[in-house]
Amino acid sequence: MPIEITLERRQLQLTRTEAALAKGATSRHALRRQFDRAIAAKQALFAPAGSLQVDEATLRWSIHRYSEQLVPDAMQQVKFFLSLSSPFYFEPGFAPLYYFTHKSGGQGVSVNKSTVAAIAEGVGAVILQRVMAARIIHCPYHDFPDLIGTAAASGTQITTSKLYLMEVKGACMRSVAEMRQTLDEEVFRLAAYTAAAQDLDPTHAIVGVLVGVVIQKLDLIHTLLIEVSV
Amino acid sequence: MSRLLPIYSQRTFLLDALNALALRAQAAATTVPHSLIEDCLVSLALEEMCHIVQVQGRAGYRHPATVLEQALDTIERTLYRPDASHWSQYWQQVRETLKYPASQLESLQARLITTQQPEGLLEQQSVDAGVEVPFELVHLAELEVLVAVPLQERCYLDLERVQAQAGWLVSGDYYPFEIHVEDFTLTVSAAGEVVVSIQSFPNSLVRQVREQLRLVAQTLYTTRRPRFTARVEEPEALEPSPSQDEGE
Repeated sequence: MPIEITLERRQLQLTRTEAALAKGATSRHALRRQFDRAIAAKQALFAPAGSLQVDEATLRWSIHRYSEQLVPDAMQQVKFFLSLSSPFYFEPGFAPLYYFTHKSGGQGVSVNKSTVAAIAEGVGAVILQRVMAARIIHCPYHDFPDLIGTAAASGTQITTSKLYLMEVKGACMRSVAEMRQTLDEEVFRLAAYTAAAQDLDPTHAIVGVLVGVVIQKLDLIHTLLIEVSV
Repeated sequence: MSRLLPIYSQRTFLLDALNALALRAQAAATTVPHSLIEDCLVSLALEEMCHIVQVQGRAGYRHPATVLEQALDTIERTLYRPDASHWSQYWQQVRETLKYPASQLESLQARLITTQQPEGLLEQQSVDAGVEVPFELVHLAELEVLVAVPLQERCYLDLERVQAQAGWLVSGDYYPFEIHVEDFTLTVSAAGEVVVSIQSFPNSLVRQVREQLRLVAQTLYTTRRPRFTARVEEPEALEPSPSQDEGE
């Protein structure tokens, strides 16, 4: 099954003051508000950046290879969850799963969060390779960020190539506007991390990439990218 | 972009990266541990541990040392240079990071048994007769995928040759590339592996897919050098440079 991944990109080039504000914002809320105001004034909005076509098999392999989530067949699980919202769910032959709805206060069943995270990390890995033309060199285990990639074509070129630090957020059955809100709340964390990494290694060009993945249907995934550099 | 791409296995890529980063750190005379070196070491140790578990587990052999110690020992020996002593500052952190993954791999190794394969479907098969680059076909039964892995370090992916085959289509501007053959989609990873899903396929179809994968790998892997290199070298070899003419 072909999957379409649509992209919206926003690029943030931070000044030294904004980078310092981001670092301070990790421990002081007032500085976070200042940082938010500073980057809001930059008028760098999300712009449509085309789309990617990948096969389901490629995404499944990407999830297996680069996701740290321990979930069996994430695609199948989300497909089943999405089928619950389909009108065909009421056709004969579909199992009525109303069992746990009373526990979620009438909100209905919710999707497995690890599954969504796994798909989001798989999509992030595809984007890092296809959009940034980077090679993934490390996936920190239960640590920040989710993926580390380099633009180097071979290992010997790593010292002169751009380095990507990618953090991925995933959501299913939520709006793109809600994901934008989530990314706006998270961007200072990645900005602080990128600024700190750049201070530690000034010779490397370091780009922090925050990716929001919204699974609308299994064959249509919407992504929002914020690229932060200092 | 050229459709003839050099293949670097993840192990080779990380080893080259570590050597380059170590040289730069040495030139800068810095004693501060570099987190990128640590990340590369952790990834390399994981690759090494998986390789050790796979080889020793299949052979039914268990080394007295732990998988992590064996992996770190191999890496230390590979990276060893008489003038470089800075690796020692990373080992403790790498051990700490990989403590739990290593113990998980240890228990997997203890339980690793060769699963009963259907008749005629070998788990691993090396293909080296009549091919430019030898490769291995691996059947990962638990994941329901077939994988082709090149066995030669210095080789290339020839996507043009694949595209030239009737009915075969290459898609993607960069990794992971996709090769569409009949109704199957094969994924080409940055390390040169070709992966195809056989989820819920009957055995007869698995054999058919395996044959297609063998054909694709045979067509894809090449030892041929990129054409643009030859074009640059040829004029230099044939024509003397202007400065030489002037000197004579």
